[in-house]
Amino acid sequence: MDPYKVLGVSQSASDEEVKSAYIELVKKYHPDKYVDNPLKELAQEKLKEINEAYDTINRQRKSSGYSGSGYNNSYNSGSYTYRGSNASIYQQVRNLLAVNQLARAEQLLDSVQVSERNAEWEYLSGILALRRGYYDNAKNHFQRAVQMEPNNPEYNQAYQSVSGVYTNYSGNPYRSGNSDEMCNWCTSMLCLNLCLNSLCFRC
Amino acid sequence: MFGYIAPNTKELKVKEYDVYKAYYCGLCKVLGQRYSILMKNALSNDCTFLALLLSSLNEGENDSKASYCAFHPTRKLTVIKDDVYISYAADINVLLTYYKLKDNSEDEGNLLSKIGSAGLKVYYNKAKKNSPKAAKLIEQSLNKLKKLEEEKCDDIDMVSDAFASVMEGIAISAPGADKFELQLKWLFYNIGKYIYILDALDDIIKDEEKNNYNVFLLKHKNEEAKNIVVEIKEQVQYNLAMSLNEASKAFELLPVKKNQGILRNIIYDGTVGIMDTIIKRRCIDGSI
Repeated sequence: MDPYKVLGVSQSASDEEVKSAYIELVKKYHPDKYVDNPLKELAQEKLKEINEAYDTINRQRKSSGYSGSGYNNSYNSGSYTYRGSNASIYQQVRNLLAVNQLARAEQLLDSVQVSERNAEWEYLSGILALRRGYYDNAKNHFQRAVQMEPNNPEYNQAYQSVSGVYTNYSGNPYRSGNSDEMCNWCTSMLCLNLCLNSLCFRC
Repeated sequence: MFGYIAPNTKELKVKEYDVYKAYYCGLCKVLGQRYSILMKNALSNDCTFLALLLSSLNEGENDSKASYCAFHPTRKLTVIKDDVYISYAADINVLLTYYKLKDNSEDEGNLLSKIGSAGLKVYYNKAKKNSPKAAKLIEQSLNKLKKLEEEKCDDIDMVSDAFASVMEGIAISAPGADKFELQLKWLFYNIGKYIYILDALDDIIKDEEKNNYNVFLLKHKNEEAKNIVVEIKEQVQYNLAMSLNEASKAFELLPVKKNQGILRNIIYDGTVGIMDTIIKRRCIDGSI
C-alpha cells in the first residue's frame, strides 16, 4: 500500500507536513480512544498501518541514520492493584472484557455477592455497560466507583471521560458550523423536502 | 421517517449539496418507480444517509442522470441512478414507514394511520420480498421493543437498545456489508440509540397528552412532562453525545471512498445541530 496514501499526504509533502499528518492520525486512532470500544482491534490495525507508513516514508527519505520515531504501540491498560477476596474474579473479568466476552464477564460480576461489591466491581460493571451501548448505566456505575474510591485514577479517568462527552463532541474540530443559528437545518431542509405532509409522521 | 440524520446544509459546499440532493432525489425516484408515487411522501433523510454511506464504501464516481420529477415539472433534476444501494435504502424506507404507521394505528387508533398501514401492506410485502433478511431482523427487534413497551419498561438503556438493534439489523443486511460488518454494526447501533432517545424527548409532550408510552414519562411518574424535560436535559445530552461519539469512531474505521465531506458533515455537524435544536426546543424554550 502507498504509505503517502495511508497518511493522506502527497509525495511532495514536506517532512513537517508528513509528521503533522501522522500525529493527527495517531490521535484519531489512539488506543485510549478505543479502549472500551468493540472496534478496538480494527483501530489497532489501522494504527499499525499508519506507523508502518510513517516508518516507510522516513526510511525512504533518510536512507541513513533514521532511528524510527513512530508511535510506540506497547499500550496496555495500566497496572492495577488488587485487594480483597474477589481480586481474582475481577482479574478474570478484565481479561474477558479485553477479548469482548461480555456475557461471561457479566456472569462473573453477577456472581459477586451484593454486600461485597466494591468500587472495582462498579468500575468493571461500568466498562461492561459501555461495551454494550448501555451508556446511562455505565455513567451511574462509574459515578459510584468514584464515590467509593475518590482517589483512584482509573475510576476517575473513566468517569471524567464519559462526563465530558457532550462538550467534546459538540466542540469537535470536524464540526464546522456554530449552533447559534438553531434552525439552520430545518429551514434549509424545507427547500429539499418534497414531503406533502399528509403522511408526515413527526407532525 | 424521523429525519434526525441529515446534513447541516449551510456548511456543505455547493458541489456537496448537489450530490446529497442527487441521492435524496434518486431515492425518491426509486420509491416512486418501484413502489408507488404515494411512497414518495415517506422519503426520509435517514434512508438517504443509508444509501449515501453504502455507496460511498465503493469505488467509482457518483453515477447520476438528469430526470424529470412530478413535484418539479418545469426542470430536470440530477438524480443518482438506481443501484443496489439506492434500492436497498428504498426497501428499508418502505419497511420502516409501514411499521411506523402500524405502530401509530395500534397506539392511538388513529384512523389515518389505520388506512395508511392497510394501504401500505402491498408495498410492505414487496419490500419484504426484496430484502427478506432486513425485514426479518427489523421485525424481531421491533417485537422486542413492543414487549418492553407493554411491560412499561422505564430503563432508557434497554428500550433504546431494542431500537438500536433495528438499525443494526438494517446495517448488516445491506448489500456489500459483510466486508465491513463490525464497523457498520456499531455505527448503526449507535445511530439507532441516538434516534430513539431524541425521538422520545421530541415526543414527550404529545405522548403525555395522548397517554402513549414514553420512557421518560414512566421513569418520572407523577411528574408533568414540562418539568421532566428540565430534569432530564443533561442525561439526554450525555446519552446522545455518547451515541454519536461511538458512531463517529465506527465511521472513522470505514474505508470511505468518496463523499467524505458530506458524510462527515452529517455525523459531526448535522446530527449535533438537530440534537441541539430539539433539546433547546423541548428543554429550554419548553415549546410544543
